[in-house]
Amino acid sequence: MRTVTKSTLIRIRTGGAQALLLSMSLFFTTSVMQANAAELFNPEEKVETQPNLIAIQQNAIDDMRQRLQRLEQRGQQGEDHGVPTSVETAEAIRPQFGVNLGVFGDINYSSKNREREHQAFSIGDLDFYSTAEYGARINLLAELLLELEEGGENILDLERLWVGYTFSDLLILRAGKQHSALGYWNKTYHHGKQLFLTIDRPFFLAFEDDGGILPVHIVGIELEGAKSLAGMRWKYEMSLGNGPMIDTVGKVLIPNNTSDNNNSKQIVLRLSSTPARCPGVTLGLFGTTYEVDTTAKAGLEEAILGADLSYLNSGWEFISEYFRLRNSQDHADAFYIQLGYTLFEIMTPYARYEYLNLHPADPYFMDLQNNSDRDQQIFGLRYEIDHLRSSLKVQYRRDDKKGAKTFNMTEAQWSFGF
Amino acid sequence: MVLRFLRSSPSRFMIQWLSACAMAIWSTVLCSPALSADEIAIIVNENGPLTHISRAEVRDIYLGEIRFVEGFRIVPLHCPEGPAKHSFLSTIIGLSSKAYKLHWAKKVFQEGLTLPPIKADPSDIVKWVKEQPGGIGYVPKELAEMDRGIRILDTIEIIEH
Repeated sequence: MRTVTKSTLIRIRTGGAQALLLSMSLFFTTSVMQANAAELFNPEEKVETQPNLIAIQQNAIDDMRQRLQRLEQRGQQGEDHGVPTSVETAEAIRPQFGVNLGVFGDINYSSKNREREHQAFSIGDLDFYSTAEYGARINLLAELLLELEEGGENILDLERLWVGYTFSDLLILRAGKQHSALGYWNKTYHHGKQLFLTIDRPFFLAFEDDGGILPVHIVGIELEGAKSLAGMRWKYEMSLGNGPMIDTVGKVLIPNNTSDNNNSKQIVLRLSSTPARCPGVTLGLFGTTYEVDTTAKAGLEEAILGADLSYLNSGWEFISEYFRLRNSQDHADAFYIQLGYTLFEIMTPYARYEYLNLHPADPYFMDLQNNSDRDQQIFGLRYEIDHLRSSLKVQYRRDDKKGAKTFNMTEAQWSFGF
Repeated sequence: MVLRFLRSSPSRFMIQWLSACAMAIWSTVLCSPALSADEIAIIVNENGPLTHISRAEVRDIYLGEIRFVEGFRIVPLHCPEGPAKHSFLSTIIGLSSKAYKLHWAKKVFQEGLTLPPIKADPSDIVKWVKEQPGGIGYVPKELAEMDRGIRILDTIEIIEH
C-alpha cells in the first residue's frame, strides 16, 4: 500500500513536472506568435529576435528536462531506499547480520612481566564483529569478544553494539554501546590488534577490565558529523550516556551497560580537523565529565581534557595524545608519543613512549590498579605477512613503575584479521 | 543466400559468440594493467550533485568522509587493480593501494561502512554513473568522451609502475 502511494506520488510529481513543461512550451509558443506578429511591423528586428528566442526556449526546455530528470532520479532513489520493490523484497527481508562477518585474533609470547610471573605463550582475545547496512542510511555494528581468562574460564563480552541512522554527513545518530571519543586511539582502534602498529594499546588506554583508568566505552547515544570549511575538514563527535562505576574490590572501572548507579550522565565531546592541504594530519581536542563513587568520596566529579595529533601518510605513522584527569581534589597527567615508518611496504620499525603521572592521594586513582607513576618505552618491528590480513610484531618493552620492580621484556605477536 | 546463412541458428549462435568475444577482448584491453589508455577521466552524472566538486572533495568521497551531497547518497566506484587504479589512488587520494585498503579496513571496523564497489568493465562504470545521480568513477578518457549523460570532472595521467 505504501509502495503504491509512494509510486503514485512520484508519478504525480513527474506528471506535474510534465504539465509544467507543457505550460512553459505553450507560453513560449505564444511568445513566438507575439514575436511573429511584431515582425510584421518591424521586419528588420526579425533576424536578431528569432535566434534569441530560440536560444531562450532551448535553454528553458533543457533546464526543465534536467529538473524533470533529477526529480525522476530522486523519486527512483527514494523508492529504492524507502520501500523495496517486489523484485527486491526477497533480498530486503534476508537477514543482513553476519553478511560482513570478520574476526581478529592474536597469538603472543612474552618474557616475565608485571602481569605474568613466567615467560609464556598466550592466546589473545578472539574478536568477532559484523557490520550491516540497509539502504543508504541505516547501519549496525556488533563486536563480541571471547576472552580466555587464566584458570581456563572463557568470557563472552559484548564490546560494541550500535545502530546508526545517517541524516546527512553533518548529522549521524548512533545508539548503543561504543568507544567514547576520548582521543584518536580510542576512536580509531578497537580490539583488533592486527590494525595496531604495536602489540598492545598504551597502558593507560587499556580497556576497563584490563586495569584501564579511562572510561573507554559508553552506553548511550552519539551524534557525529563532518563538514569542509575554510580549507579544513571539521568533525565533531558527541556522546551522552551512562558514566562508569568503580568496583572498589576488583579495583577496576566498569561501564554501566544495563543500568546506571547514579542519575548523572557522562558527556563526551571531541572536535577534530584535517587540513585539505596536509592529508593525513589530524588535530583533535576532547573532553568528558562524569560522576563516580569512590572510597574516599561519594559522587566524585571527574573530568578529562585532552588533545591529540596524528599524521598517517607516505609511510609515516605519528600519533601523540595528552590527557589531563582532574577532580575537585587532585589531578593527573598522561601522554604517549608513537612513531613508525614503513620500509618497502612490509617492515615498520616503531617506538613509543608512554607516561602517567599522578598523586597517590587522588581519590579517583586510590581505587584503581594503576595508582602510581608509571612509564614505558617500547622499540619494535612489525613485519607484514600480508599487509591487510596478518603480521608479525617483535618488541622490547621497558616497564618502569614507581615503588615497584622495573621489567625489561621481549614480546612477540602474530596477529590476524579475516 | 548470405541472409539465409545469417538467419540460421548456428550462424546466429556464432555471431553472438563472436560479439561476446569482441566485448570481452575490448573490456580486457581497457582494464588490462599492461595495455591501458594514457589518461583516465573522473566522471560524474551530468545531472547529479557532483558536477562542480574539487579534487579534495573527490578524495573525501573515496575515503568515505563525504557520503551525502544535496540529499543524494554518493557511491564511488573503483576499477580493478592496475595502472589506472594505482594512478587514481596516488594522484587523487595520495595513498598507495595497500594504505588505501588499510584505511578502509579501519573504517569498516570503526564506522560499519561498506567499501566502494569495484566494477571490472569500464563501460559498466559509465553505465552506473549515468544511472545514479550520486555515482562517481574513473574510466579511460576516450570512453568517457564517447558517452553522453556523464560529465568529465577531471583527467589524470596514468603512471606506469
